[in-house]
Amino acid sequence: MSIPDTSPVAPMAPPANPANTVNTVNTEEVILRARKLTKQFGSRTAVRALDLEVRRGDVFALLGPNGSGKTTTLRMALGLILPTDGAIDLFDSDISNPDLRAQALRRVGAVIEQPAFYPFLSGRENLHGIATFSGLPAGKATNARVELALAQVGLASRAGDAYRKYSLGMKQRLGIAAALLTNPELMILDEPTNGLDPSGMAEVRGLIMQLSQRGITILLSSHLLYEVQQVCTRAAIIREGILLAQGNVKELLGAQNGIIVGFDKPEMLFPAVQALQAANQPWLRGAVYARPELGAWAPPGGWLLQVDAPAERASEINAILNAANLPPAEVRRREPSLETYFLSVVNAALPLVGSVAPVIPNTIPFAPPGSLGAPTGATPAGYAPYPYTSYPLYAPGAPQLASPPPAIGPQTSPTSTTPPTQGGPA
Amino acid sequence: MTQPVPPTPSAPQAPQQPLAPTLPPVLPPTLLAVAQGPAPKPTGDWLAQTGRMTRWTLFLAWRRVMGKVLTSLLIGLFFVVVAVIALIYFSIANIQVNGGSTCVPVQTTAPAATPGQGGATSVTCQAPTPAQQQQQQQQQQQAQQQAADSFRDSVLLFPGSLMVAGTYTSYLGVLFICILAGALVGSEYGYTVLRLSISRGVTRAQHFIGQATGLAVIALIASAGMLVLGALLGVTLGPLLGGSLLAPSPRGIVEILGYWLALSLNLFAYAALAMCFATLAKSTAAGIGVSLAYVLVELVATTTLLGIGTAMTLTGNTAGPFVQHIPDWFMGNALGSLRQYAGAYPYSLAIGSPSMSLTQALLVPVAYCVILLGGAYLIFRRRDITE
Repeated sequence: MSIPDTSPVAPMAPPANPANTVNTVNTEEVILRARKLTKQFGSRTAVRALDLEVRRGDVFALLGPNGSGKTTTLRMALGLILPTDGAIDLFDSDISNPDLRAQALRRVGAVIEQPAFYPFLSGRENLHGIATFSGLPAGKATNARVELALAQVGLASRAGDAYRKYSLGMKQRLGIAAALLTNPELMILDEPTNGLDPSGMAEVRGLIMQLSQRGITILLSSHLLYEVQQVCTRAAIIREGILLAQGNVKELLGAQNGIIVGFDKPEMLFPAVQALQAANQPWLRGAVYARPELGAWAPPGGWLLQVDAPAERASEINAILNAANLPPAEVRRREPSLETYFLSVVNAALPLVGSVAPVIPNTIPFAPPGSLGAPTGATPAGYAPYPYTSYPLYAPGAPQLASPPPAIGPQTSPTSTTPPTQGGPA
Repeated sequence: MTQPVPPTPSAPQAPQQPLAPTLPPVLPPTLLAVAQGPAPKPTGDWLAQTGRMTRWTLFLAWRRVMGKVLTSLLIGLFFVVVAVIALIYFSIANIQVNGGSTCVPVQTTAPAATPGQGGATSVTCQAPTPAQQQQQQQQQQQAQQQAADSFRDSVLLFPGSLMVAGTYTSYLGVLFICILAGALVGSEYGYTVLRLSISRGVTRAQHFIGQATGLAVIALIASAGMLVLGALLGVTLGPLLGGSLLAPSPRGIVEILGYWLALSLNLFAYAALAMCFATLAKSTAAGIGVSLAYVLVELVATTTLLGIGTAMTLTGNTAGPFVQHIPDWFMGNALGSLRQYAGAYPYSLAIGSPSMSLTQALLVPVAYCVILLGGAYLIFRRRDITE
């Protein structure tokens, strides 16, 4: 896909709401709130008691594996699927009321999965249809608006062609043009880069950034976590309809910061922890046993040490360990990655019992800085994120230390592993 | 001279270029003016939006190839029917009259065998004289011409031509509107475009009513169009064939209007049937198939029940009349009776006489429409719109 050098966003007129501009966005205003949202299809529960908050100005990513309930959630937000239980407030209106829903949805633009339009109508006629559905009056202003939207996504020259003759990228672009037609305050994009080539993906990413800069709130779902990490400010991860995590992306990923230390001999891990504790440095906040990322070097025994410390302290950690005659085979900073975080959360072996969602910490699966080694009561039993399978191990002042982890091959399935004995304070 | 240092994978990346400029370099002045001006805002109330949905349904019906094909077929086949009728007229009018009867009956009385008794009377056959033959031929030609004229006036001259158009529409028009309605409603699911309107703030009631109203307008337009076509035929072909046009009377115009509405209800009721099943099954095929099957089943059931009822009545079974009247509760039969009531006087636009009261003829189709559309809407309003 190649969108011409025209910004799809910039020429659009300012949003109707004066607060909806770059400088005056009220980021505390929740414009979409799901409250205990539940959807059952027959005996299958697609979404379970989901609580979401999308604030004005957010670029909010709804993440989850296939079949996790993302599209169902987005469709419920658009009134296409009716919740079995719970509610959605859109612009402070409970959209279970059809009239309030109709009013609220006029402030929303959406592209749900593969764009669908009338195949026998041209792109222009389809956009006129969208204008009709959106309540725009027929006339010059609407006609010009349609032409503008077509020009902005580079479809002006093909506007008269039947939609069925469009390529996949053109269809996606028409979907985006349709979503932008009415100057929405909230854009809901379900897999917006589906079917696009890398160039098209980059352009959609740019589009999302620009929409956000203009104060348009974005709620999107995508499997392209790298793309999401580039553009999103907040994210929620769901699996089997259950909210696993929700929060600011930087905060979510910040918990992954740390220094990875690997040894040639697995029996060096436990003494290394003791040596770090003995160093008694204020910046040395804690450590956990961790498993290597997929594709990364796996030490003998399959376990690494993840030290909760500022990345610039790597050389000092190296020095402490060398002084204790525990030379590490690897010391490196750990780069935060949404993909890694996503996998660690989603692949956790959460027991799903009945329709009751387990209580999951709303921020991260890792123990927060400063509290490593202190098992949190909120962490459910059997909670074992992967690949950074981490077990609270050490914290400054902790009276006891954990025993070393058992040897685990790096290729072992995380669900089949036996976690090391939980240690920490008695 | 310094050697260029090859970039390493760990080298920090240069700041990313903005992916798109903040302003478009080239936009036509008109578009630029629009872009910088206020965007159009949604207008109109609930009713206005429902009206827009109705117009959209009509637009879709027109833009579909199927809509054009069906319209062309409806009109084209009507001209074929008219051509056949005209041929029948010509064949009636131009049958060669033969030389007339070769026998002119002559009554003769034989002399009485016994005095006082009358003689035996007998009829004998005599060859007609040329004058008699000519008279006979003239009489036959006149009768033949009268039959042809009567036929012409009843089907090819206004207002009789309306009867042809109406009857034709009540059969073929029904089939076509079943196909069109099933395709219009079912394809919303097939193309997965239902979400376009619903996710834009169109309520399900507006969407459904817009579709139903659109089909009602199509029924009104189709029946009016066919009646106008019939009227045009009657004021052109009829006089060309020697017919004399009469100025329509006010009572006649009322009859035509009533007949038009009855015919429209006829089409709409079957469109509602197709819409109902297309909605329930989320399928074009179901909408078309079930409605067309109903037309056939209703025809067969009516014939069968009437036959059984008549047989039972003739054999003295008291349930016979009841069985005979079961078809009165069928939608098609009630609509037929309604057309007969509407087109009874003064132009006799409908063939036959009604088999039920006017109230029943009116209420039965209305009840069908309410049940079909109401049931479909109750399902539609709570339905999840998925792929």
